[in-house]
Amino acid sequence: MLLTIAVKEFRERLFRLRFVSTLIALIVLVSATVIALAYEHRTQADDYNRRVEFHRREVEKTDFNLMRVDRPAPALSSLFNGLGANAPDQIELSDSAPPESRQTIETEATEAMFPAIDLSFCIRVVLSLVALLFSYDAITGEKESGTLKQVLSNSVSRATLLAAKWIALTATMGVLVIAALASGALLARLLPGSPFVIRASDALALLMISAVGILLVSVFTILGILVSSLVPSSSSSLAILMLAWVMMVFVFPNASPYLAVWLSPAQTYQQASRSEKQINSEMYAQLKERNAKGAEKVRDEKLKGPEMQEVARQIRKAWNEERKESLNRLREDYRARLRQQEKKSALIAALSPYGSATQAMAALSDSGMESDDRFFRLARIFDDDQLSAHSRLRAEMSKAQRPSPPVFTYESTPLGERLSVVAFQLSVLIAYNAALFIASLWAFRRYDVR
Amino acid sequence: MDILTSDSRLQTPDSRLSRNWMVWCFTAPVRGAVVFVDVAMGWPVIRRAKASDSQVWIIAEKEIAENVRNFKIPAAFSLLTVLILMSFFLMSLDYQKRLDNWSTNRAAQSDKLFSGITSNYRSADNQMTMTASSVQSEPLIRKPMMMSVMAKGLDSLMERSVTIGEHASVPPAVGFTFGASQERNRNVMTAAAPDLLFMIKIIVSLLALFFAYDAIAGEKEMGTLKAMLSGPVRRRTVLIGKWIGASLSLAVPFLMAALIGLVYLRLVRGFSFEGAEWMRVALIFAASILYGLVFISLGLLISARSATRKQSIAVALACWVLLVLVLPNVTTLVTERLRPLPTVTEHNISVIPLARQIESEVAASGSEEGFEFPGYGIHHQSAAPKIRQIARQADNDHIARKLDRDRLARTLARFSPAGAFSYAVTDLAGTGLGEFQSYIGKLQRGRDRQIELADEKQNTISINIANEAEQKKANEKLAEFFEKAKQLNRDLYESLVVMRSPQEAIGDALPDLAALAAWSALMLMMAALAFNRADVR
Repeated sequence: MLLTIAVKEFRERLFRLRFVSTLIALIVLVSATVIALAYEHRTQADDYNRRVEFHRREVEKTDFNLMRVDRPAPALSSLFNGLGANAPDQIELSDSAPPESRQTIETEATEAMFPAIDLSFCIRVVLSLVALLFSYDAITGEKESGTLKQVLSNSVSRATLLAAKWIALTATMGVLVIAALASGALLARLLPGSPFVIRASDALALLMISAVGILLVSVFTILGILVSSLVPSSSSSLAILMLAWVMMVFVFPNASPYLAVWLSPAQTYQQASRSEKQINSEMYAQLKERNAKGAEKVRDEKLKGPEMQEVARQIRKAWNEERKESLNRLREDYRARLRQQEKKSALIAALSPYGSATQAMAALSDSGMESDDRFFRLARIFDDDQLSAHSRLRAEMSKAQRPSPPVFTYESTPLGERLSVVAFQLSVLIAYNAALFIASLWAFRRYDVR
Repeated sequence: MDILTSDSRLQTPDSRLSRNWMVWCFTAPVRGAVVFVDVAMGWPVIRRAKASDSQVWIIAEKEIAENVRNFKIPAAFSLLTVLILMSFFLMSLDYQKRLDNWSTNRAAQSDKLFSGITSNYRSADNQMTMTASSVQSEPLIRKPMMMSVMAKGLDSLMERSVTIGEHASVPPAVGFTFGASQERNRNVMTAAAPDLLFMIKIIVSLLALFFAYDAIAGEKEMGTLKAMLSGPVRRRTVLIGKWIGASLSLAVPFLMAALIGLVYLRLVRGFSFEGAEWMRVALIFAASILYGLVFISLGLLISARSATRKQSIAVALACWVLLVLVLPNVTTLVTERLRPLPTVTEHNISVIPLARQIESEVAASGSEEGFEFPGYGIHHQSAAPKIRQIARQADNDHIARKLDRDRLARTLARFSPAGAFSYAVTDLAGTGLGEFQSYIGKLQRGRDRQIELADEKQNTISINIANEAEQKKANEKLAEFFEKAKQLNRDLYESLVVMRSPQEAIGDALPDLAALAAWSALMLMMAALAFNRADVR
């Protein structure tokens, strides 16, 4: 019975003008977005290659106390923006300072005014609105047209009817989600000169993203059904749903970072920078003292040329390590507090299904904060292991004998890691689905169908 | 009957002519203008006459009463008040944080800090001497604008630390490089600021559509529309009456909520605006109302063309998504395709061959021996002034092209009311594109002065030093130039704190405000035409 009703409703909705026009409009929007994003992606990929080449030559020319490592744009960049231009794609590693992250792409004024939209936006914002528009009159519409009491008078339980409607609507929306992602991916693949090459892990990530998208639109669908079974008329149902949508999609996600700053304040950037400079200054004063002692030693022992330089080098090396360590400690402290603030705002945002979906899609497409942190972690490991080994070798051997410097290649986050990161967000989405369904059941049982 | 022929002033001799669309299209602008002038001129007449004598006013009042009765106005007022208060709360916290950040930077300028040591090891007689340590202060940052509480705009972009000094890729040249953003919380960086601009852009437009979408379609469904029109009332009157009713239903709650917000800002958060800033605030509110009017007119147009309320709201929301969410962001993408520009890295790398050419010319003449800059190559002192000029020209060209692209984006954004609105309000608040371009101009001039100083230094101080006495004099001169450079930097940042005059800001915002007015007029005209042809049965 459930399946029969569901299939009937699904077929009904699929062949209506509003569904077909929505589908066409969606594909047009997705295409326009993907064309622009693919172009961006190609520019970034070219820039990355150029930078890597430039650094390689630079490293050979300098005496190699400064190395820059780069990260390419994520594989799914033609579809998803994520942090975009705010993500550091280069980290500077040196002997004497802790790793310093940089963005090579400068944020332009126009982009700061209107950030570019991506496929994630199309699904989260546009399709959630469409889900509401399809479901706001699920119950009230049928009541107003008189068919509700007819259906219910034919020994169809209210629960079955409700579930059938939900399944049908979600399936309809699911078609839209998959159409959007599939057409986007296909277009990105087919565009000439596109750097969009999907490996198996990325294809699976795309599947997971579509699952997240379907979970999100299903939340909005059941929300629409819930409100529809709580209020007597369609227009009040829509008004309430629009209010909820605006709050969930625009107000709450953008206000939550600012809320988190209020709830969990951290040092400002200048304060942290000033403390760092003060420590730096103390360290330099120490270096001056140590150098003075070294000069005395040179004078007493009457050292010449290479031996004198050896003394200087030893002093400098020990001092460098100490300085790097104390600066690291300071930065880690600052970064920890900042991360706490970020986590709090992520948590607050994840409490809403829209926020959870946003975070999940960003993490699954490897363009969120987690991949940012991962880049930093990998650069640190590279610095600690390979680069220090190399500088030790460098100190011991002559220039001719030195092996070439190690090369850093960034590997994108493995799928398993991405999934473990989004476990919380997925459970939030599933919980909302369950809770809202139960609430709708309760509301619909009490609904006056006359 | 054609509403335009029923107006005695516009009566054409041959009413069949009015159905000839070609002629109609040509005369439509004139007719439309006359309609508006008619209403505008009639306004004092309407007010002087008793309310019951004016049909437009009766219809408007009925609309407003309806909106109060079905809770639209109370709901709109509560929603706007809550959101505006929340927005002012969060943005004032954000402003306070950024202001503290700036004050720390300011205070840090007088810290006496070391950040480098020059040591000379002279191999003769085992002498090892450590000489002067350079004192380097944190690059200055610009003070945040107080009106960023209302529209954050590009304020965080202008807050980045800027160092005017060694060029990013060509060490002998002078350039300016932007440092890190002052905001380190990545969530704040990627979120849209929940400022007044954001709230108005999203909420006011939606509310306007909500007030207007069922103005005509709803009455048609209920059957009261044909009843109303069967009486001695012109269609135009009905439309204008509904428009005025819907506009007042939106504008009055909005202004009240905004005033409450301003009182909150002043009394609770302690923000006080001076004379000129009040003018900016007033203009921002005026722009917001104009923005709302665009969507009221759009709502009426859609309502007139729709058969049912459901169709009306669906089309209205689709238009809203297109005009507010999609179009402005698409202009970003479109301008990037229309005006492709090299990235900053690319540009910096492209300056190197230009410099190297000059170096090789000097090297070919063999007049001096150069020294090596790692990553750049051999540099000859005498080539420096020319290299500085070439780099400066290349940088200026790159910046000019960027600013040109931004201006194009702004022009294209006027195709969306939300785009025009955002540009107008940010400029009025002093955090917009006009301010940003003036900011870049000041940076360019600061850099030019540093170039002049560098040239002067090169001409005054020679590097071939014979003895101790000359070394000492050269050191003194160097210190003098160092001080001059620092002073130039300080002067630059003093100039950056100064916001442009309100006249300039208004001048920049005016085309966008005009675009909004044009949108509103266009939508209303189309609504009138649609309503005129609408089947009300």
